[in-house]
Amino acid sequence: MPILANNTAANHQKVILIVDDSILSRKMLRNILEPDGYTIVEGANGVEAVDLFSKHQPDAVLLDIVMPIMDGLEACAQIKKLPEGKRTPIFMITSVATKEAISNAFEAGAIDYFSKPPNEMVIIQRLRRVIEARSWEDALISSQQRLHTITATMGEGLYVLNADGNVTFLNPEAEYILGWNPEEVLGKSPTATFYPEPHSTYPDAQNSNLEPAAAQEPYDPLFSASYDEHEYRHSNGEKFPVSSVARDFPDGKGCVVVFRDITAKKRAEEQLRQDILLASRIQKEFLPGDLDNLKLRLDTIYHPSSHVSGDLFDYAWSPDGNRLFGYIADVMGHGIATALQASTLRAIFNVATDKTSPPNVRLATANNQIFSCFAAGSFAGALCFELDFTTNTLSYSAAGINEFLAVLNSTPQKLEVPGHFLGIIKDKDYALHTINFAPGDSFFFMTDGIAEYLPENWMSYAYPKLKKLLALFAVQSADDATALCLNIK
Amino acid sequence: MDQQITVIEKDVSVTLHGRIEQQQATELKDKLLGLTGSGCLNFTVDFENVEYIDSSGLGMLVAVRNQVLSNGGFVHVVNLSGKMKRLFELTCLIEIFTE
Repeated sequence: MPILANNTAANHQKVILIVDDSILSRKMLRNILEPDGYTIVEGANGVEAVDLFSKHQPDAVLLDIVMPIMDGLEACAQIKKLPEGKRTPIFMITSVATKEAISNAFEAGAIDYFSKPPNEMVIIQRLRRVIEARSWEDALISSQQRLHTITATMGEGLYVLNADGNVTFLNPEAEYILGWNPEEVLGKSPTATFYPEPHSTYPDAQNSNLEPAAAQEPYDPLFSASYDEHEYRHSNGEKFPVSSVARDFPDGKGCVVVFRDITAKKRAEEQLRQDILLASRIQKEFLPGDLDNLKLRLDTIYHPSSHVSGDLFDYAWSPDGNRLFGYIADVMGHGIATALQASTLRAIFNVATDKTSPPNVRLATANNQIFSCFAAGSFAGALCFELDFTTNTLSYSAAGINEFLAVLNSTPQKLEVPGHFLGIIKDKDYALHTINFAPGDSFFFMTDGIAEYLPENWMSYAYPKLKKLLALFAVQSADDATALCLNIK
Repeated sequence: MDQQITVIEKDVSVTLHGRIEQQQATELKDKLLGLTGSGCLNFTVDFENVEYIDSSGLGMLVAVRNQVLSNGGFVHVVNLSGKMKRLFELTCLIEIFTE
């Protein structure tokens, strides 16, 4: 039974260089080490030791001190000067373990020494531990090299802060983005160079996926694990927007911050914002304004949910000024795509339909036209009306906007008008309805962005208070909200 | 909104609850259109417990209907009553969703 458990698997391919001018000593050491899995390379003097070291790059070296041509101390010193020699453990073997011999061995760069004759258990255990330690060191160096390669290749900037808040590492992309040289940044707080003053409050919860480590402490973006958008300062003094992820190290002694320059993204967002604002202005410019003449007062309410709207309306007088034709419409959906379709619907109503046609005819025409103009699955609600001041009648037809408010002879009422949406089924007929009006009567046509906010007691309000109430609902609405309020004089 | 979707081969039963507004309607539309992509053809939507549906919700039903109609499928809305029934009557959607 062996004295020590066999370690051959762990030592597979590990090479030990044994250098001794005594063949017997070398054989003794070989007999001890080979069973433990090592590959043995032998030399007989210091010169051979240096040559064999360069050739085999052993994992450890056992050197006899007293040898011809070049002694072990000199060989040790020379090996230690070689690139790989610095990290290779060298054991000196001496038959005379005097203080001077031991001192000389360590000064030459040896890690330890063995007395002759070597003790089998001691030599195996020491070698195992030293070689294992070197394996860990190799793994650590390899890991650091990989990490360095990763950070050097990253498309994002990366820097590391220590527990004192000073920068200890800056990757090449961070140098490029920030414009600062490492020597200007390393060892200092980021606020001395590229980082604006720390925030004094917590970030918006929506911008942070992780809770700050100490919720009661003032938020310091340098040390809290968080996702954020803020500004850094370039070496030329210009500030620029970045998005960053900061994460504390598990031991709490510092953090790593990864960031990217989002100037181009911000510019694109700003350009998009400007485009949307322009589209919003264009949409509003197409809409007619309020009206106040001897026949009626007409107030418009128009409130897009997000700058642009799927709602639209229009009205126009007959050439003799006795009839007012109008409509209000609501393309289903929100945003730019819906707004574009709203423009299309405006063109359909204003160009493809004869505005002097009865409301039901205009709706039927618009319904058939819409199929060739709207995206698949899109549809719209609308209500068309005509006020005839020669007969004092209101004619109307509905297509999805199926109710409106009326105050007739001081009696408020909600009028329901059945009718298909535009764009769902082709060749549909729409019913035409007619009621009489008198001076003082009011009509309120509105899209569902306002209608759904109507309180139960809306009937207790009269024009113009009801109009103001509807305008208030429009502002509060999460939907596009539009209304035409007509008061007959 | 609590929504229950049961799929048996090509038939889908959808039971809706509460208010159906833009966000819920968008999520539901994505789910149901996803089912049409998986071969589901016939959709039955139970409105017994629906309190309110906005135009986005109606748009969701129309979008699913348009998707399945060309393949011979249908979308049926059942258990309409009160305000919901009146809404479907006024918009004439009752004709296309209960036939």
